[in-house]
Order: sequence, then C-alpha cells, then structure tokens
Amino acid sequence: MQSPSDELLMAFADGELTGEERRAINKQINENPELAERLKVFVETREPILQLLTKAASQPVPDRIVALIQDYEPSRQPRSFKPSHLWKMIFGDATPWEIKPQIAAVGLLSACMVGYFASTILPASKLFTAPARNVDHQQVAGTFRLDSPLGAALTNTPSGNGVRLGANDAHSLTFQAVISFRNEDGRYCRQYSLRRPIGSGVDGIACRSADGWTDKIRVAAQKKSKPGYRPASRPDNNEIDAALTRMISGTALGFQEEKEAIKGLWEGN
Amino acid sequence: MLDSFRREMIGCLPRLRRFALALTGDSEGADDLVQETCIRALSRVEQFRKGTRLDSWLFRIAQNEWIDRQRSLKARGQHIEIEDAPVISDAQSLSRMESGLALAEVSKSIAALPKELQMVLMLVCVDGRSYKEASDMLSIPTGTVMSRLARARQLLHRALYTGTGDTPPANEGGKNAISQ
Repeated sequence: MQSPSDELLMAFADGELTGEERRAINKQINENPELAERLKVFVETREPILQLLTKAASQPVPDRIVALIQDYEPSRQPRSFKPSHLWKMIFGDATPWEIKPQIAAVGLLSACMVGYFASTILPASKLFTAPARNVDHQQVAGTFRLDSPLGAALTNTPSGNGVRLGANDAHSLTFQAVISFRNEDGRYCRQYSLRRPIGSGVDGIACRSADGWTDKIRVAAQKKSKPGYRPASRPDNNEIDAALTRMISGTALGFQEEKEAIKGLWEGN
Repeated sequence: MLDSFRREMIGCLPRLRRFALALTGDSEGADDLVQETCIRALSRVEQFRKGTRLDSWLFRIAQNEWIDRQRSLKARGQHIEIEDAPVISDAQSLSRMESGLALAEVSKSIAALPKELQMVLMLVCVDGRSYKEASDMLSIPTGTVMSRLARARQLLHRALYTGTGDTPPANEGGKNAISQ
C-alpha cells in the first residue's frame, strides 16, 4: 500500500478526515513505525501551540484598545495637502494678480504655521532628555532580584546611561536610568525607562527592597500618537512625574551620592 | 456603518490579540500590535468590502504591520550592548518550564516562516480554524492550504523540537505573499 502523504497525515492529526479515511490511515500507522514519527511532527505543532497561546492570551484585552476603537475618528486623518488648497484657503478664487491686499495674510499664516510646528515638534525633541513624559496606561509589576537582567540594570546603571537587555532583536529592551532618589522611608528608588526597538515602552519607578528592586509604578510610554486619535481616557498629566513628586524625599541624588549607592548596591537606608 | 464596524472589530479583539501574541511573543508587544492594527483598520475603513470577513482582514493587517516592523528593525540596527538575557520574571520562567514550549521561541519560529506559510499556520494552529475555513478566509484552494500548512509545520517542528531552526528566509512581499 502506498505511504500516505504528509498532507494526509496532517489531516489525520487535525481530525480533518472522514471515518473511513481515518481508519485506513490508522491501520497504516499501526503497521509502520516510520509513519508514527512523521505524524508526530503534526501532533506537536497544533495542540501545544493552541494551549500555550490560550494560556498566554487569557488576560482581557486592555480597555485602552476598546476605547481607541470607540473613539477613533477616521475623518480626522490629515488629507494630502496640495499648494492649491493653501491658495484657496487664503485667497479664495482670486487670481495671482488680484491678491496684493492679501499679502499680509500670508505673513500672518506663516507665523501661525511656525508657531504650530514649534509647539508640536520641539516638545517631542525633549523626549531625549525627559523620557518619562506622555503616559497613558498604568500597571504595577513585581520584584526583580539583583541578579535578574532588570535588577542588575537598576543596580549598576548610572542615571542618564542606557543598557540593552536581551538579544539584538525585536524582543530586546533598552533600559535607561533616569533619576535616583530616596523615598520617605529612606529607601533608594530609581526612575527608569524601558524601550523596545520599535514602538512600545514603559516608564517606571522601582525602589530597593530586601529581595532586590520592587516596582512602585510602571506606566506604558505613549507612542507617537496617530493623527486624529487621542483617547478620552488619556490623562494630560504625567503619572510618573506625579508619582515622583509623591515619593521623593529631599532632592535627587547627585553624581557622587549615586556612585556611592551603586558601590554599596543601594543597601543603605 | 462605522458603528457596526466598530462593534464587530471589538468582537474580534480576543482572537486578534491571540494572533498578535503568536507573532510578538509577549503580551505587551501583542497589545501594541493590536492597537496599531486597529488604527490602520479604522483609518482605512472605506477599503473594507462589505460581505468579506473582518477577522481575516484584521489578521492580514496585523501580519503586514508586523513584517513592516521587522523590516524596519533590520534597517535601523541596534543600540548599546551589555546584557544578554531577556527580561523574564520567575513566574514566566516557571510557566515556560511547565508548558515545555516557550511563547517567545514559538513566535520567533513563526516569524521566520515565509509569509504565505505563516498566515496559513496562524489561522489553523493559532486561531484554531479548519482547513476549509482557512481556505475561505484566504481565498485559496483547500489543497493549497494543506500543502502550505504541512510545510509550515515541518519547518516549525524542526525549529522548536530539534533546535536546527533552518527555516528559509521569510518571504517579505514576494510574488506569493498574501496581499492586504
């Protein structure tokens, strides 16, 4: 009897065959151990993956995504802009030789545009020095041991410096220490940011605990928002800044103080 | 029209998130991908043809978005080097040991598959679709679904269980790629 094809074996493994086909393949598998090995490939690549993903996807979809779908207004997307649109906006249907009185309007409009770009683009450039701005989602994580990657980064990285956690791929994160301070209990705390190569990231504050570092707040960093979309639930204030103000006792550690703290594994309190 | 589109989209979210999880390998990345997918879909709602499957359309957008990110990542290079191990909590490590398969490994192996194999695999092995349903969603014959699926699973099995992982380079937009 001819050996069944891979496709047929796969269909057998996936329960896609009729009763008669199933019985025929089953008989062949019982008679030929090599077929059982080929079948294993298909058995091991569906149910285990389905189970793994079912477990991983058991958390509910974040509210912010549902809110995005409900709030998003496609009509607010910027349309392609042509010079003729600008002309029409200012001068209406006037021809170029009829516009002398309106030249002042061009100057005014130009000033408005410069002001607009100054207020939108320039603040974005400040992200390089203030990475904890613009947040929209909060979660509090757990404790990181000193020998864990994040624990080690929190322990050893001076403020303003960054390290990469993980392999050089889409799953890696770049850690940056932002500021160090003591909280009201005298414990050392550090504000930090974690960024993926593309897209998402989080900002957080972790404090030194007996077991390592414990996250006190962790907030998803806001990505560059898409034109036209801003969920109603997004807070205007900076949650990290607010948490920092609540937690900090005195001022942030200076360079020398931080150096000493790193040397002492942030244990003094 | 838009309201019913939004409602249907919200109904697709759990499956879209699961689909995204298989691509990204972590829940944060998956949520990010789902969000981008929703924004893209809503901004192109006029391109969605009534009577076609919204879930299939969303999956394709998510897959293309993910491939775009991978391309962009390759083009941009990377930053500073110090640590090697990824950030994994103890609970996650335990979960991986218990399950035998690590989500990150599965997602990496899936991401390495050619695009046309990837989508068939995702529909059947991630979304739990039958061959016929996958065939309808992709508008390709059931026989093609089966041959692509068998090939994808052989490559995936090799990557996950034998550690050779010699999957061919992903077909990023080649002639066999599924168009959006």
